[in-house]
Amino acid sequence: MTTTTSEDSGKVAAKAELRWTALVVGIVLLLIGMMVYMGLHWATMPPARIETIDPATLHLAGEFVENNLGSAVEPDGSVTVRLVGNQYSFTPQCIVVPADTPIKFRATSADVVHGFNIAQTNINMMLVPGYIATFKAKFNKPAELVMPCHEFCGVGHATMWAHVKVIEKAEFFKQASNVQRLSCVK
Amino acid sequence: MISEPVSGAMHSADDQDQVDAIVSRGPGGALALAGTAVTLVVLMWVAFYVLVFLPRN
Repeated sequence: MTTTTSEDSGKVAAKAELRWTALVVGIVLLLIGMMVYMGLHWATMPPARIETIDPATLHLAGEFVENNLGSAVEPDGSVTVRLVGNQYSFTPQCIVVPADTPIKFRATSADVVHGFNIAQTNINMMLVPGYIATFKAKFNKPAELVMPCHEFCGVGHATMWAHVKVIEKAEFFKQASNVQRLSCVK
Repeated sequence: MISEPVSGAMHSADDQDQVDAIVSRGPGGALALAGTAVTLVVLMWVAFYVLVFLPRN
């Protein structure tokens, strides 16, 4: 009698454990599925390729020389924003981008690791010296946003931030028709 | 507070039957506690996804 009851209670416990395991596996699969969905649907994923650059010669030649920084209109109507982070500022200090337009950020660091984060958006990446960080984004409506460095980069870290001005698409392309690279640095 | 019996009485057949009877009813309390905790965590994840991630585009 006792042996039978022990076996029964053991079965009940094993069944409960199995059900719980199935539930937890289900939740883990749901979260992995959501990660895959977000990666594919929202393109929130690390860059597919690694581009390297020499941080010692950033300012001398290549795409991150000073007069090439800022927003550039591409032939397909999208906009590429190039910027550099260095202790303790971003260059350009004020970025201007159009609303409702595909935008590609290309950024790197001239010295130490910096954080690149535009407040109130999911745009968030690391600027690592020697590597070009890329991020595709789209702003829905005009706004004035701040862009603080979110990776401690030294004693001046707290003062390191830039502005992002999202303006109407038509206004942006009107301004862009006059200049090669656009920014709102006064 | 419930204290375990210190004598060897725990190993008696009656006690074993009692334990088996309790275990055979299933771990309802443990499932309720763990279920509530896991539900809260999953709901927080969903809330962040819907209320923070999606509005940030």
